[in-house]
Amino acid sequence: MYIYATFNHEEILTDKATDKRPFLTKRFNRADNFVNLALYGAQNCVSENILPTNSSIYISSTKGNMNATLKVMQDIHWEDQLPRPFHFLNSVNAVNLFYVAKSFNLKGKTLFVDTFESALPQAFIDVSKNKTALLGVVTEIIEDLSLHTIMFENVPIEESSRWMLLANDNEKKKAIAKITDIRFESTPQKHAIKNLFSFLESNDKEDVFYFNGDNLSFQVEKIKHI
Amino acid sequence: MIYIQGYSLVSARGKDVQSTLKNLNKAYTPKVLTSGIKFYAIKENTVLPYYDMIEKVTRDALIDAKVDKSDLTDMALFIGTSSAKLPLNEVNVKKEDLLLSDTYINEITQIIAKRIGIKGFRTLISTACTSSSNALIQAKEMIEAGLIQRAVIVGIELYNLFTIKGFESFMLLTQDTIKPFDKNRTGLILGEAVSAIVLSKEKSPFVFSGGSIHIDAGSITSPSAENLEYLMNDALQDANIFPTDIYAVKTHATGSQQNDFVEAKALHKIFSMKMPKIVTLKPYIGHTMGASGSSELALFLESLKDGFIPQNKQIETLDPECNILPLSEKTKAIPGYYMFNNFGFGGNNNSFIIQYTEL
Repeated sequence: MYIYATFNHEEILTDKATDKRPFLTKRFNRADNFVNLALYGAQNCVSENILPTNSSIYISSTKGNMNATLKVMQDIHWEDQLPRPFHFLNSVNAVNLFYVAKSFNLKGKTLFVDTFESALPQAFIDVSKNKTALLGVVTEIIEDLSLHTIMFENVPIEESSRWMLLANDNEKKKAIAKITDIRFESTPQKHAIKNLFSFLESNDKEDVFYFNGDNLSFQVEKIKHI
Repeated sequence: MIYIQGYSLVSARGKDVQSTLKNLNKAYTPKVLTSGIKFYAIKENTVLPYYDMIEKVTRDALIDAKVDKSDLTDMALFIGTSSAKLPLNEVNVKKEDLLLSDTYINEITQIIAKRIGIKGFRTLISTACTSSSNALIQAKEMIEAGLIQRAVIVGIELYNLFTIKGFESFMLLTQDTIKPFDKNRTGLILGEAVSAIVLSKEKSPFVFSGGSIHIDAGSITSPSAENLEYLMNDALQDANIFPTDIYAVKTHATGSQQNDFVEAKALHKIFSMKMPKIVTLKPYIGHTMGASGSSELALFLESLKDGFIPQNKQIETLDPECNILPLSEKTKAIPGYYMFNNFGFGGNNNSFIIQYTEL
């Protein structure tokens, strides 16, 4: 499986999150911060590439759309009223996939999963069937930073949207790197995903990266184009 | 070929799949919540704490599949759930002044894998009503590719106000009964269920023949007939069969006006030669959201094992626009292909095919 493009957005916040809408090539009226964060990463990763309509999309996120979920919870449990329909919709993980698919006019497989480690082997299956897969890891912060600090003690206030475009060997396009040796065993290393994306976008001399995440390991080898 | 080795289910209608099937012919009235909303609730004497319930149902399926401890080394765990940790968070809201106290959804697979001793690949898929059925298709594809040897797929949807109020805000819930394809259908009733299915390459009477997952990015809340037709055709192609090979279809059929209509329209297009027998299971156990795919499959398989296709109540008023008559007579199960449709919010839809064989 080959990596053809990546995008690595990470922002450490001291105030509110940057509005991603001005940077989007396709915007949607009802999209909230999580959706825009996903769109921002996906659109920048795909960039000039044209995705086949049967391409797959995987969004992985351990916490999902927390702000939409909080708004619905607040309406129900504190305000004792029905949630606003679009807050409810945006809290549904599949809806985030909808916006990304719509952005690229796709009709393939779309899955929202818990972790990058669970998404990658599933994307591998699609790629082995000669499909293209767009895989993102999206982490948003809670808009109310003081609440975020209470909820996630000792965790940096950081949002990120990291994406990779995966496909089989394609003579017409130049791949960045090749993923091999996927195993469901590992000695997890801290910041494995962050380090993987940093490796992919760096121009360092290192050509090989050994990913060791939660229950998943694989090797990534950069491809040199002469 | 990939086979279904075992399955389990806890639903509003029974503490296990056998009792759920047995109780289908008995009268049942959904629980009425304080808000007046109807809900298919798991009986109080069956309810266990969140993780205990999931562990029990997973173990039941592993026992049914005769999985021994050594098989767990290369067993993969797929969890399909829409609400994930929302039931836990809602319990905590009452104790703490924090709306979200338990946020990491990946902990669900970690905890269940650890409790049971599953060592292989694990994932949680959350795509609304298609969560567990997507998980089934993914597991099948990963076994087929040789990436995993066997898998247990667990569908989880337990009571939470979040989902109920969310559906209420869209005016999708009915005060009446669920009447799929009936002219006077007025919506759905949500329900809770936990179910599990074990897949592997070891022979059994149930073959997981094929499946397809597609996004319909036309509308967030309702699929189009054209896309559903495309989806079902793709599932048939994946199973390498023709529409005329399908003996019965377990429809998604929530009882909502628009979705039943588009599903009916797509069914007429696909099965223009001959309409297969139509089955709807949500009137029995409610719409169990992310767990509906695996729960309705478990119930259907148990019925086949019992020798029959699940029958429905007689439709009261035929909707000429749908022109679909769900099976209302007890019909003998025969070896053949059975299609299962599952559609969800966000245009996330799937269809899969099971072949029932005589070993």
